[in-house]
Amino acid sequence: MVLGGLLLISCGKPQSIPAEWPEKPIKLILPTNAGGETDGLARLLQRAIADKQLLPEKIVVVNLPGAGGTIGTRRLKESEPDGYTIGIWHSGIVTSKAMGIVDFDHNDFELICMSGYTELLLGVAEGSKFQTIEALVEFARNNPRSVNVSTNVGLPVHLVPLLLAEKAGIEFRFIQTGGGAPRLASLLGGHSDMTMLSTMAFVNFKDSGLKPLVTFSAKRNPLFPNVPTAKEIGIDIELVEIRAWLAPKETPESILEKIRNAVKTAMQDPELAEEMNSLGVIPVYGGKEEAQPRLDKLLNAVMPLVDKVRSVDQ
Amino acid sequence: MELLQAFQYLLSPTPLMWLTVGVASGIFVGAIPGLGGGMLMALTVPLTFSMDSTHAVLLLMGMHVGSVTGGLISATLFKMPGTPSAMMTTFDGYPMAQSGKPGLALSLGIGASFLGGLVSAGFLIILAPPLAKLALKFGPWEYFAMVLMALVLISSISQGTMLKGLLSAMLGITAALPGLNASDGQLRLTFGFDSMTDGFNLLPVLLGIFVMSQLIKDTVELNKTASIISLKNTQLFPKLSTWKKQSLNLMRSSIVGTWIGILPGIGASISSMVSYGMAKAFSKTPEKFGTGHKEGVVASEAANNANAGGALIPLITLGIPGAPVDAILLGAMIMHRIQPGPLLFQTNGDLVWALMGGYLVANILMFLVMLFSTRLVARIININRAYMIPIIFVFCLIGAFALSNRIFDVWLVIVFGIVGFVLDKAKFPLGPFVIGYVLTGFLEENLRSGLQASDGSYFPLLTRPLSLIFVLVAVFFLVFPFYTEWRRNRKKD
Amino acid sequence: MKLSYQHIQDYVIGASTIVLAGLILWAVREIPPPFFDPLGSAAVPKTVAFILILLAARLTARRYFENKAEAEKAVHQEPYNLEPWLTTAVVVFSILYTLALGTGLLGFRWGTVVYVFLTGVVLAKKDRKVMGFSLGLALVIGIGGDYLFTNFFFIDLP
Repeated sequence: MVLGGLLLISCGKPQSIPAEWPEKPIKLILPTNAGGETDGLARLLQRAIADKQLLPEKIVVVNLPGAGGTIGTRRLKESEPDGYTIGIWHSGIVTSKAMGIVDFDHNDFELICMSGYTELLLGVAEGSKFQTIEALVEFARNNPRSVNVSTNVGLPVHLVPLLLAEKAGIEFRFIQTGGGAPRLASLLGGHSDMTMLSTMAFVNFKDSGLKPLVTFSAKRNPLFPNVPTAKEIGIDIELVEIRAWLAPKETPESILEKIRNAVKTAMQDPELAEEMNSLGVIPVYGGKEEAQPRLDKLLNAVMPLVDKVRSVDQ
Repeated sequence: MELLQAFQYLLSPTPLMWLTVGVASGIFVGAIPGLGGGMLMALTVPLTFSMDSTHAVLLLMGMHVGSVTGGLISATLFKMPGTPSAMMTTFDGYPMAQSGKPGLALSLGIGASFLGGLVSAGFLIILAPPLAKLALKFGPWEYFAMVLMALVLISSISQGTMLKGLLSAMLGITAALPGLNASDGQLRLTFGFDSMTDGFNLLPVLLGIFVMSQLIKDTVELNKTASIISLKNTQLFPKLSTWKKQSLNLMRSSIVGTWIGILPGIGASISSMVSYGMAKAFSKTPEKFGTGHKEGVVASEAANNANAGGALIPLITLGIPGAPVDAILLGAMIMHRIQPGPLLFQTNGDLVWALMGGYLVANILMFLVMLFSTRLVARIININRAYMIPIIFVFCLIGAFALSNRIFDVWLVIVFGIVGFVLDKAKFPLGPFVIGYVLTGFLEENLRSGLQASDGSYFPLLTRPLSLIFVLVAVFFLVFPFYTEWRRNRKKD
Repeated sequence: MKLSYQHIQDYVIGASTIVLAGLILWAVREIPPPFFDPLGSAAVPKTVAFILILLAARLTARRYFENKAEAEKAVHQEPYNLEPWLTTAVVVFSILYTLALGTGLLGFRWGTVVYVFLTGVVLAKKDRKVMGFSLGLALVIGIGGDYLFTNFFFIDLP
């Protein structure tokens, strides 16, 4: 279900660049349901920006879930570039393009900044026959298509393990399972061998019987010092899931800069950092120059992948 | 002992107040077609940020319990399910109310809801951890076989010819096809419209087929609905003997509801469908279903309320939401820094017991609120349609719009309303339409996930013991009617 | 031979169903062959379309060949007058209301006031008291609803 924003009477005609932006509340589009990780993050930032009065008007969150987030991203793309409609999304912006669901990616937006990121890990159930990533890769190499990976087809949780298989020269068998909760259930019930989840899931569900095998971050996670990075086992992947702030193309740079400053200042608050941590988001601010190459890299990696997969199985 | 302490806590003024507020607002919103518990909870979550975390969760849980039951009011009185899970209640509750017994129909539904809630609360408190483990054994094939079995059990659900029922079901299935397909991330049947990429969502379709079409029908038959149904001298509460006769049905429906609640990713509407189908299959008078039969109301309402308790089992023990609404509850808990899971029993046992006890108390509160308002609520049946029709449409518009903040979903309500009205006018039953619509996506996705896992082989359907059982039951009930007819014919000769 | 109302209904539904099935079959051609699973996204819609055609053909055929006299007898008249024009008005009002909100012509507040009042007036069947009450109700729902949903629950109403 959905939470929304505040009454906005948009008159529809493009406005000239206002000297005093913002003069009315700013809509923050979230292409996902209320209650999830991205939603929680957005609401924390919204509250922090309002509490500290970093912007003269308030930000209202508008949830636009559906079709893998593309309902929301498309609406954002088609909004007026007046700074009153912005959005937050993750690398789904890239994978939806790769899957051919939409014909636009992050380059069709103004990239504002990134408000933290989540680390991605592949994991198994505690009692799994694979206790290390090396063992799993070795097994998959000798037995192609025998390691079942539960996934949500077309999203990062599908394409990132696919990238790993590609680089390691192995083949997984992907099983469409859905969001984080069904994937966890599938793993614990033994219906699949492995899945990708965020750090937070591995921390929270450690006790339910979830065990990480490999992380895609640059460094080992201090919470899981025994879990190697992909690079350490000779697979050249290094990526994290960023939370990118986007605006429609041609939104004036002066407005983008104001939003950047607000987000950046809000994220310096240690209390907010603590709250973001508890959502599993690592509270590191990054400007456009940091967000852009990460998304570019992912796009370049997954674009050829999808075509290849689609042609292989025919 | 801990449970007693939990009750002591729950019955102290503040928690009790939040539970009552939750239950009452849940019933109210649940009774309004268009607005549902999920929406209310999602809208309330941000308001609870400043509250005590246990109070917040109790408030939301009360809303959940209240809204599931509230849905039966409009389903019974107007044939408009207030919440999706009450749709099966329209089939028997409405005819019963129209025959001059709205009070009886309501109190039967309320009693069944209450007992369903109690049974699932019992499972929740006593057997939560092992049941949650058992539920994890269900994989795609088991889901597929179970829902397939349900489909067989409910087939021929309402009156009308077999042919029209089948065509109606196939049209419902068609409505579930467009949009982004989960199994391979492929867009299909969008005809190039961007707004179709998300397909047709459950809420607008249901509001259209059941609510909008009924609004149109009520307008056409304005002169009929103007006749007042007398509430004097009608029986308001079912006799004890009725409950005794329904005890087996009640127990079975509550267990089915609880079990489907425990299974992750399958919601309350499917649980009432399965339990209705089972009740019909095991009934001595299956032909009476759909005509205002008590068994039908009991099966649907016991199951959808039990479902709510069942869904709390994997949520509390594993941190896996059992139904979409529970995902909102989970989100709220995480916001309040409560991480459900096995660890919660050790680190915060009091809270676990408070949640479980809270569910039980919420059901009792729901029962009391509903019981004392039955006589009053039953009067709504006679409300002037000139007020009711526009207002319900306004609520449908808000509910459909709020789903994804787009007007497209409101158009869907209108289009499906007209389709539903035309079909109904031509004597096509609408039940199969909605059942076909609801179950198709689920069946297709699980079948394809199963095939992904088995590399295209259908054998797991028969080699996995649980799915084999479901298939056998389905085959039995498919063949059984033919067999009895064949025997009857032979006896005649 | 005069066709009964029932016949026309079933013929129209049968024909529309076949058109719908045709549309599905046409749209399914664009779906690429299966790649992530053996079934693919085209299999189910295709099957459904064929079954639709089969059922619709049967429905139409059965109507065509059935005993006309008996079919006529089965029709029973409702004991009250139906209101087709009133219904058309209510549906048209609902469409205009949605359109007004969708295009931003009217906001939720005034759109709702106008809609609830006008629909109430039409349905009141010349009862002045009901009309008056409708106006009050329209103001409460429109203005109150707007206040409740935008200021308290934060739905982004049009």
